Amino acid sequence: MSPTPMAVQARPFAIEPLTNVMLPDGIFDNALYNLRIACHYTNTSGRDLTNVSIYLESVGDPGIAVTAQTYTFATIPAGASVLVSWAADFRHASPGKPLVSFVARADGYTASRSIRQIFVSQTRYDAATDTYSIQVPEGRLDISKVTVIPPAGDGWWAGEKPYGEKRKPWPGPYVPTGLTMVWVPNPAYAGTHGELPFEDPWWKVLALVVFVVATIVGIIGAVLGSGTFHAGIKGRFEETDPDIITECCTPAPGDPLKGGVTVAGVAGVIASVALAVALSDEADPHRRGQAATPPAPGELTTAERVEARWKLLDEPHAGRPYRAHVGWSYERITTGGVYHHRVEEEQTNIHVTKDVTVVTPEAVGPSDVLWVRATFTRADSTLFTGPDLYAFALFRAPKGLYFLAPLTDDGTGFDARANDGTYTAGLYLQNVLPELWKAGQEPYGIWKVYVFAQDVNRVAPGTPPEIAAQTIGGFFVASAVQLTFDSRLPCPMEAQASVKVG
Amino acid sequence: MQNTGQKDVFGAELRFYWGNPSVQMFYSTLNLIGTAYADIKAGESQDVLCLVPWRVVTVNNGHECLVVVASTPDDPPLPDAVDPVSYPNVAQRNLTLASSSSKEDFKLTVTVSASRRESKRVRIGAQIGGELSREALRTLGLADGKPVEKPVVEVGFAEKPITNPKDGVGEPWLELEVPAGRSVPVYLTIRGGADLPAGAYQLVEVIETQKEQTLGGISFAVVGEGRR
Repeated sequence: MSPTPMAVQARPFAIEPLTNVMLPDGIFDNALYNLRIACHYTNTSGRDLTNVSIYLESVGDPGIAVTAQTYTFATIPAGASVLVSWAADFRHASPGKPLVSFVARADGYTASRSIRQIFVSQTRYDAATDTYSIQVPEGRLDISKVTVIPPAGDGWWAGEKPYGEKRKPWPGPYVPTGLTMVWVPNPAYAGTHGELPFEDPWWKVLALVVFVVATIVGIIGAVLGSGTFHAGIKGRFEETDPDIITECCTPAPGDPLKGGVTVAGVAGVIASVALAVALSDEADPHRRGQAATPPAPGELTTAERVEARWKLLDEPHAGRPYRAHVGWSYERITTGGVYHHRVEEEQTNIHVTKDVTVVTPEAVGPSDVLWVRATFTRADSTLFTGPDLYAFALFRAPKGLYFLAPLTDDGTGFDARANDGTYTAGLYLQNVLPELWKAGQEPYGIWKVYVFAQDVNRVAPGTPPEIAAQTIGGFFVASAVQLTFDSRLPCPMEAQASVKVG
Repeated sequence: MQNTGQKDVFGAELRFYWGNPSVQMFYSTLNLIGTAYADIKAGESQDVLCLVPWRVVTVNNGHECLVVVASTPDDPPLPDAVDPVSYPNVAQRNLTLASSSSKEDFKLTVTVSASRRESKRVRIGAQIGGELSREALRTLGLADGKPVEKPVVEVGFAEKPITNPKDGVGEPWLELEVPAGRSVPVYLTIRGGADLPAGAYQLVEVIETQKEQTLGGISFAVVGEGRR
């Protein structure tokens, strides 16, 4: 027998289980204790595989504790990629690039192993200096002087505002408008360019990780109080941009267990992404600053400082080409002197979807399947397909309870055909009735359907770092919730479809 | 790992340890390297990979033991003593490859440990000859190795290090009293591997016994020069 022809072809990515959002570029951070190790597992053969089982075998960092779980699929069509994920505790993880091995086995084949690296960072906060630090193997990025467009109102609660509890609301989302980033390479380096973080993403992605970690910490704190994140992390930003008088909307309170938390998480990520948009995907200020300031021979670069401030010219809608006018300065500190570079420019979000179509049945019975099919079209009119996206749907019951279901294009379960660009999710209403009844709700009435999708970094392992860095995953290319600068109303959440259950 | 049972196993946990060689070892003194999981159908076997690198800490001239324990949530807890003979879900690899260059003795400090609450009186001796399994030979890079039954090497034990080769290799066996919770060193010397023919190996098994019951042991495959 030959080995099972299945492989994990791209770097596994991190999903925060409470909000269900992917962390920027799939990077794991040990400030968030509970994360899921997710990947798309691909049938690389030209034939369907039957009775497939998949499990995570081992992680190369003993500080990462994985919960064993085996996935079984009756059939995985030729070329299809199934989404699988495992719960893991990262509180004792070390910053680095540990290996993770997965094992797949199908009828008629022997087991085969797939080994991939994941990226793990460590975010901490120093209250004395109001500085966030994120540690990676290649150095440390210190982030300070953060300015934001603040959210309005009293903040966001998971569900109804609790009475007499110590929990505090999440005061987000925060739309960043500026920050100072100091990169301390380890070790100091000679020449024009230093090592990229993880030898892959731009330095700005680390800043984005910090923003999203702080956002999720704030949300977890509002839902659970504490306990599943590093106690030193602050989940809020207080410095507002004095030149900006606007305020951001706040998500409406929601079901504390599923939908509401997810919506808050999505809003937080969308807001944070403004930072990445302003600082360009093609080459970020650190990279461009390095190129513009080659040091003298014999000098070692010991630190690099970027101060960036920007103004959003449009509201930061996910999947839209919103613009930012940005000015940044770069300073290279070497053993022989200090070099400067400055840029003023306009940047535009390139993580754009031209069209999102959502199809559902008009009406179903209480014992039927509630399904949704969605397609996501890029700006160049091509469809996202298969493992291009990490996507999910929220089904909102008539009285407000949410149910989350993965949207997949893998030709299994509810999805009819793999890699055709149609992502499908389904919900067996019979299975959710007990939960509805427990909440005192009935299934009858109008169900609303919300669709969310983040792009996945699919750069092949081994790609040169400066090329790999230009591809960043984890951006929302489709979101039912959008951010506005109208602080009078909650952030608008538009259902892409509705279904009558009767 | 081989599933010798009648049912498929899902999510079996394998814990990988290393330890300072001692003829009887205890989990409480071993060092955990890492963990891996495996699904194995009834009657089948599979290689299981631990991705955590074994950061080799050089103790005892780098001669160390590896122990792997496979378990499922339904399994009863193991005793502290590492006992691969009584527990088939425990595997122990104590092989040290010794390169017998012409005149140098192979020396190793072996630790004899007692459990935390009970002292013990044991005998440390050696058996020369026998053969390794085909699987063990393959993993050692000795797939075509031929065992030599007739003793070619000399094996001896001492309670103090032997620094002068003219003092011999020590006693053929030692009787030791080990207090509870303590460890006692035994100095092992193997001499004469240079006389082994090319492609041959001689198995030396150092065994700890108590009242004729085997408590533990370490195996050495002695090969000629150039086969290390």
